[in-house]
Amino acid sequence: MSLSLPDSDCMLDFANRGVHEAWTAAWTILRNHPSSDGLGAMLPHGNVHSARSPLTAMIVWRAGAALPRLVRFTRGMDVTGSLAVALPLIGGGPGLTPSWDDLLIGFLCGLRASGGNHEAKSRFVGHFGIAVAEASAGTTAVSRAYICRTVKGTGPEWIESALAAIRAGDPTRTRAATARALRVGHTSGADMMLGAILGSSVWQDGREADEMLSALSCENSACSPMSDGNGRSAMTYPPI
Amino acid sequence: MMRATKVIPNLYRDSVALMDLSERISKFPGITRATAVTATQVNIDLLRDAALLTEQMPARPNDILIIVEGADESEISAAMQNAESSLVEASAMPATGGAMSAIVPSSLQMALEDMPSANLALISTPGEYAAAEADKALRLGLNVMVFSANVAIEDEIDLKQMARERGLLLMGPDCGTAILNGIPLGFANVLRRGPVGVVASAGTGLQQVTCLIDRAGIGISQGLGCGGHDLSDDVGGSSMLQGLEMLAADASTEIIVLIAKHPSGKAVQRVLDAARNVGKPVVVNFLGVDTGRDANSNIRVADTLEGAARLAIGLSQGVRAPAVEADKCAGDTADLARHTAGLSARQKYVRGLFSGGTFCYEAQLLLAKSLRQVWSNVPVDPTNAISDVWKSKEHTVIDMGDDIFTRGRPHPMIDQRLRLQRLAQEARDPETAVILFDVVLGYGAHPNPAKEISDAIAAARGEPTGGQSPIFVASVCGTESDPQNLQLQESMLRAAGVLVAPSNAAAARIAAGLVMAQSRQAEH
Repeated sequence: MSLSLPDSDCMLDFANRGVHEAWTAAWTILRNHPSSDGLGAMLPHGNVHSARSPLTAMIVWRAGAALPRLVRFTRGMDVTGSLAVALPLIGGGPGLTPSWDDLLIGFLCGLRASGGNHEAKSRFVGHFGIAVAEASAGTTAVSRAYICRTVKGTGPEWIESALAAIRAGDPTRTRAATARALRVGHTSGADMMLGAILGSSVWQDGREADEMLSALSCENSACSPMSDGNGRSAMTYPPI
Repeated sequence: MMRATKVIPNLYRDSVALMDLSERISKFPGITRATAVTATQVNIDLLRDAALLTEQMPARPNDILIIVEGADESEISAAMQNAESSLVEASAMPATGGAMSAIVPSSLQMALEDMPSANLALISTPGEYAAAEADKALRLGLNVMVFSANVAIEDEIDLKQMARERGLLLMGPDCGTAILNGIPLGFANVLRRGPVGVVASAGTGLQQVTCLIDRAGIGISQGLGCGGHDLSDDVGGSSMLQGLEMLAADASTEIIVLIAKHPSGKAVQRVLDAARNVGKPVVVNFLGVDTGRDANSNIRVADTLEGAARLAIGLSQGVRAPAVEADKCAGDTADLARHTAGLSARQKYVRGLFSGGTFCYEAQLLLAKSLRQVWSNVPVDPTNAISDVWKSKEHTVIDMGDDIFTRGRPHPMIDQRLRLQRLAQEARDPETAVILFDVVLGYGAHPNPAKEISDAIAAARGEPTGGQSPIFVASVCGTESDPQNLQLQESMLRAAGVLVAPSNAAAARIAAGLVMAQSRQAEH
């Protein structure tokens, strides 16, 4: 699969003050989003206890452990490590497009927006995306379609619009686009935006990604074996 | 504990449908947990981790897996049967006298072919699609009610122009309430039929006025909604003018009431000029705008929704409008002081939590008459915009139906959870003296709001705080014929210690009176 990446001129770079302001505007709206289902329940104003699906609590718990590792490995350009975190949860969570899949879709879009033409980042996004697409055979057909289309270069329109607004350094447009994205689906919009905002912050110089993880109450624990009820070998990976 | 599982192969149902089903089946007698999810491997693993699934099963991502857990096999079986039949629709609709085809319509045109006598389309889709559907409906010769919000203003203008040209009524966009020929549409109440016709660009405003008129034994001919942006400069009151024309020509309408929230000056002028020529008495309540008074015209101006209802009642009875009923539920000044006697000196502020945007707006106007500054997420005065909508400061009134609270969740008139969490938060705040709120009944609203609110108030009173529990003041907008029953809802709230006022305006006045009484008390 080929990947089209934005021009470096359009790279989502926090060194540009306007871009950082727009990203902050998106994160502010997202963090105040009062979701109780899907991974949006991890947000500060989310409420997993009001979740209507028992899967929400489970996927939130798993994502809470996975997200810091995903960020750590991605930051270190470690494809193997990132995939070891991302792939096992594909198909996980409530919704016709499962929550974790939606988050990965957004994450990929965010990485791509911030990676620009940087060679190592391009390579990371390419390998990561292709592996996620291949693993999507284990999820619903609708989700697989979204994943494959995203990996081929076009993420969901509402996510790409929000990222484009951030990249343009336009907080007003960003707020409108983010609010619009959050209205998509029951949980998909929030889950995808969460991934996009996180993905677009991972490779920045500042601590925005870490602050997001903290706001999501993610575990800071070192990697630990994942339980495996089907006889597959438990996966472990060294701490970074 | 026993469990039953069922896999329905290759079934497409959207996320909301699956969650609704899970929630509904969970409430069946004897059922402890239920869920309907896509049968991906990860979900199967997660459900095993949650101890909802014990057996091994192959993952089939495009299948739906239903799990029902309970103590009794027959109850589980009944619940599972219900879940399965809910998910799997009949392949053909039953024919009813030839009016319905075997194919479920997937377009307005098909639906109209199935029901040629239909003359109204109610459109409730995401905003970006609503304009196109409204356009189609108008071209098919249907009147239209657009419940959807977030329609571009340019589209609204074009649609209203098209409707006028075709002699059709367009209500909306963002029209949540209408009563046509006695039939409630959207969020609406069960009302007597009678001589008062109402045109409103404020949904809960329409509900308040019609319910108060109904309470006086007078009825409603029609309740027409205009949509939230109709009386802006751009749209110029197009739907309100059309509604006014229609009610002027309607033989069953003797008195017309017009309601709006902060209309633009240009729209107000157009509407008033038209209203002077309809040949019937017109009551006007344009909240937030001083329309002036003209004793020689057919127009009567009210400052509040309650005032508009009183004027309409008086006109329909051929008598002077009944005086404002004294705000008896809190009593006179001495009684106000009695209510506030137990408050601590720190408890100084009123916190308004509204499900109706118009109620929030009206309450702000009334509170601002006696309180120095009232913050809000939908401020009448932009300088009073609260910086953090999740945390009150000083006097604060919040419209909990605003977009920021309803993204991804139902409106607070339907789902009270967020509002009740906020109620608990305000009750814990040692600076809260009065919590003011509205309860809206009728079709579309929560089936028993007062019960949940009463439970939340009891829980809040039971929490240890630094001082006295705040005073709760509310009004209930509804009728005796509403599914929830007005009297029952008011009784439940009174039993929970809430001061229940007959109208939103009265409740706001009482809240202001209590805070003023508390302030005087604190000075002594």
